[in-house]
Amino acid sequence: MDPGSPKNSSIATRSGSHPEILGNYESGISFIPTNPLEAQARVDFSRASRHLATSCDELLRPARSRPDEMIVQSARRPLGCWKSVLRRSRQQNQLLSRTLASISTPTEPPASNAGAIPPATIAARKAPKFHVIPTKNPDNPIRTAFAVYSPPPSARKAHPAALVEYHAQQIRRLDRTGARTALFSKSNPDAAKPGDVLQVTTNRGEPFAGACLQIRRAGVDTAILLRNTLTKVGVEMWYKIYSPSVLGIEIIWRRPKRARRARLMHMRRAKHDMGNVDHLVEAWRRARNVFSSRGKGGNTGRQGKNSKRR
Amino acid sequence: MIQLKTMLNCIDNSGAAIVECALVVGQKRHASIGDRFVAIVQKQRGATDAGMGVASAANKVKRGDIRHAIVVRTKKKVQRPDGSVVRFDDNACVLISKAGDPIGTRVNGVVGAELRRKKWSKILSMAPMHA
Repeated sequence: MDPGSPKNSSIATRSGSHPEILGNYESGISFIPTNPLEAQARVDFSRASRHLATSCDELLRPARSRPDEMIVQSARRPLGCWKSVLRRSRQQNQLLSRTLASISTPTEPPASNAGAIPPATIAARKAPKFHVIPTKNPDNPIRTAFAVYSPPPSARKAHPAALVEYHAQQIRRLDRTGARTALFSKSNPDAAKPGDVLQVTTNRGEPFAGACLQIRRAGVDTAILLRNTLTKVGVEMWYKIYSPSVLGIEIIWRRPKRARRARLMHMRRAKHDMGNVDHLVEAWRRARNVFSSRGKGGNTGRQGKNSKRR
Repeated sequence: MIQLKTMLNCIDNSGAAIVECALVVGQKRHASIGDRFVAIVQKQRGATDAGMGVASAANKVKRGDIRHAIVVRTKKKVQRPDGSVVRFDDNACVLISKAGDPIGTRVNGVVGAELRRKKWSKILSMAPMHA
């Protein structure tokens, strides 16, 4: 289709991108433009059209929110541009696979019920044996009235990793779409990472935005630490990501370079403190509004609420 | 964890800048957000470093005064019923009278939302924001 396609793919492979992701990229979008900026614009367009058709989850929001910033990045760092383009193509693929996953999820809850610990009544229903005293005549032992019950089946044998199962079950219950798990999963390249600015919307009060200093991974108790500066005072909040009171977690701003530590406690010191992140939140809102006004038909209910709040 | 001798910032316009905790009222453990304690004004707002100097007339309290106060921010983490936790970078308080009314008329700075649970909504409504 495009004469420049072989040249560009060779550039991409040279720049250290994964070949399989590149393959997805080529198959997902049927052209390879010569100019990275143009590629981004085209991807943007295709993404916007998809937004009209589908109600997307919070995982996809950050990508929608950063068109202007990305252009800046590409002007400065060509590698960063490719990174973002690849991220977008990945998210498109995710969108497809996620719709399939959502079809298959309703079958899961009955399966989990079947694997639950069996009730104790099954063991009690078995006919009891009676204790027998052997006598000198082996053919005629004394049969006593004492019933001997077999021990109940071992729950430990049936469920060798009960705690792991329990955590998985609770996560299924609290995160039905799997979006929250994906947002913080280590295997997801688009996951939120320490150093990103996140916004947590709770069921009461204002949403809290702040730099993510740490992700405490502990099954269903997985929590994030956000830090912001309000009225010149540093405020830190821990949020459980699977908590029912947490309505949404959004990535406001991605750290341009990966943080080389898992816990960014040095950001409490004045030298490394990000300070107030309200300007990032504002930029994110403005960028998101551009899309929400265009794609009025495909908006979800929650977005409407957000736009009203402003 | 506010206890005997803890120094806190006073964030209202009563005139006190830094107060010292002398007693936690009504409990035998340390004070947290929303708890009441007896405070001694150690430094007043507008006072020069040379000494007492001439404090501004707006100050309702002066150095050495003993007042009651409410903790509004703590450096120690405070857990909420839903499992979220809040922590501030400093310890701060607001002076109140013995009847429980705030001495100042405005609060400068963020305060903890625990004040609502502890029935200090008057302070909460004076604050510019709560976290």
